[in-house]
Amino acid sequence: MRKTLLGYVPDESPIYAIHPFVKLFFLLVVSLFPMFITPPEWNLFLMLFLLGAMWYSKVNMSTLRIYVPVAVSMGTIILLSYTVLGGTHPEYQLLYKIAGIKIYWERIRDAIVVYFRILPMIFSMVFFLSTSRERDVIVAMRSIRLPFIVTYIFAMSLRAAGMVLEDFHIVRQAEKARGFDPAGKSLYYKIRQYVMYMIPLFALSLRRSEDFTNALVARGYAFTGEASRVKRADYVLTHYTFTTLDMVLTIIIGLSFVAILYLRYGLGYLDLDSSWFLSWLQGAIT
Amino acid sequence: MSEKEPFVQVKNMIFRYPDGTQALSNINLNIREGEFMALIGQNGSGKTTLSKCINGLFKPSSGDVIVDGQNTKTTSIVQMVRRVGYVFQNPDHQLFNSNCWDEIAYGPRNIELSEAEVKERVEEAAKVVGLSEELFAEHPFFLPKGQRQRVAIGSILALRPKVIIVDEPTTGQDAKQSLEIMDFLVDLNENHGHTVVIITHDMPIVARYAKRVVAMGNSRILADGPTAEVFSQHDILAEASLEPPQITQLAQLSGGFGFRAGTLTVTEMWEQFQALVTSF
Repeated sequence: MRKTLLGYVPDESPIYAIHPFVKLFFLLVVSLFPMFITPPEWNLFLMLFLLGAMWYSKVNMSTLRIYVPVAVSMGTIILLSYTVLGGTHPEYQLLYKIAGIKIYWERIRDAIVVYFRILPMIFSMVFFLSTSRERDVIVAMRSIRLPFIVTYIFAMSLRAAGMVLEDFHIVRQAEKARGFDPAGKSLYYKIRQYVMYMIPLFALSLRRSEDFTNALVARGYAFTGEASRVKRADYVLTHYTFTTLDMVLTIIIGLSFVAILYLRYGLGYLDLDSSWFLSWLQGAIT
Repeated sequence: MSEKEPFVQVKNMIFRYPDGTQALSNINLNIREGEFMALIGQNGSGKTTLSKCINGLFKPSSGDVIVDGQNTKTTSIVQMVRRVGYVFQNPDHQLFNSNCWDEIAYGPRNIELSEAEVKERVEEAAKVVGLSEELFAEHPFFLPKGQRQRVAIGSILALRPKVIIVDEPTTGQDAKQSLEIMDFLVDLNENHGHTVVIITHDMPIVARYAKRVVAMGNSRILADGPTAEVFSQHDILAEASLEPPQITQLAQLSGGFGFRAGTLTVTEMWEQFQALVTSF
């Protein structure tokens, strides 16, 4: 097992054969796909493809359960924002009028489109974080020649996030060790107790950030001036080789993006009118 | 449970982390009421993991941990914390409240005691850890580390567990604070009836305070016995990357002059030296 940013992936996972740059490129490009795909069914297929990629990479699929409450609450918020809080639009098709609130078909449609655009974006990020380590991100960023300071700050943020996550686990254990058991308790009780995590986490983060700064300064690091312009050897890059497979995957990802742009703007596919799901839904609820 | 049965029984226990790392292999250990025990071993040897298994925070992958007749696999954490208290190494991880009173009351409230009993327990625990009433309204984060550690221990004491496990009680403390904390743990052990288990790398502290030592290495228990006996086992200590205190080493090197290999403190050494001189 190897620890990744979001969990553990077995040593025999095929994902380790892929250069970190390809994973970062996949994240950056594939998370753009939904921006150009309007039909929810195609974004759903994209999400299923991402789930398949996670399964193929031997990511522990049971950990995905933790995203279900996020997905449900996000969907609810989007739907309420578009419908109940969507305002009055005489030009839209009125479906229902509940307690003076007008519900339009177009607002429901837009909410569904937005929701199914956001979900694959989140899944592509989860896929990346589940299959990458902190070092992979640094290698990927240095591979595309991003300035050292940008990579360094990003890597430090990731490390800090990792530390906060680690602290979070210990704080949870400490709460349990003091008899905190949320099972069977009211939602208010749970929320109140979970909010209490923030106190030690915030205090620890403050103390850690000071330690980080002091450690950097103590080793002569500077964000400005001569020291910041020193050319640095990329030792870590020497451990990775960009293979033919990486090249092929990069080309496939790039071409897929071009294909989507062509389908959308060249041939007029992937727009609102081409969605069979939305057509069916409109027929079903109007 | 019969009176002779150990309070904690660890039977053929194996523990694996979710990443597959086997942190504990075939652990067998008994802890009796009233013991003052030290768990020693290099980093990663499994000391903290074993303690968290005894406390019920971790459930064994196989084997059993029986505490006060209850199997930790089937006992809720609310029931476990009444039996085994665990004080984390860093007090900052376990201070959740905005004042010391609420901090100590946090555990008793979680196990749903009445407010009258919570008050009684907070006052009792505060008295034992030497936390004055003036500090009750203070934010625990702004106290010095020694006092934060005391609040953390007090917050566990308020649950009145039979066994208290303290992870690295002297880390980050100066010599005076270390001795104060250890004397305080001895007081809990001798005068308040608590079984105390300390996890530490500080061998002089172990030599001075612990009656029993369990040495761990490579996820196993390498030695278990009276402190003097364990510190006499060079091969095992070497395997655990440990060294006995210097005074013990000196006594072992001077064995030819009649010094006991299990000498643990300077006082013991001095007494033997005086006896040796007088005998001439």
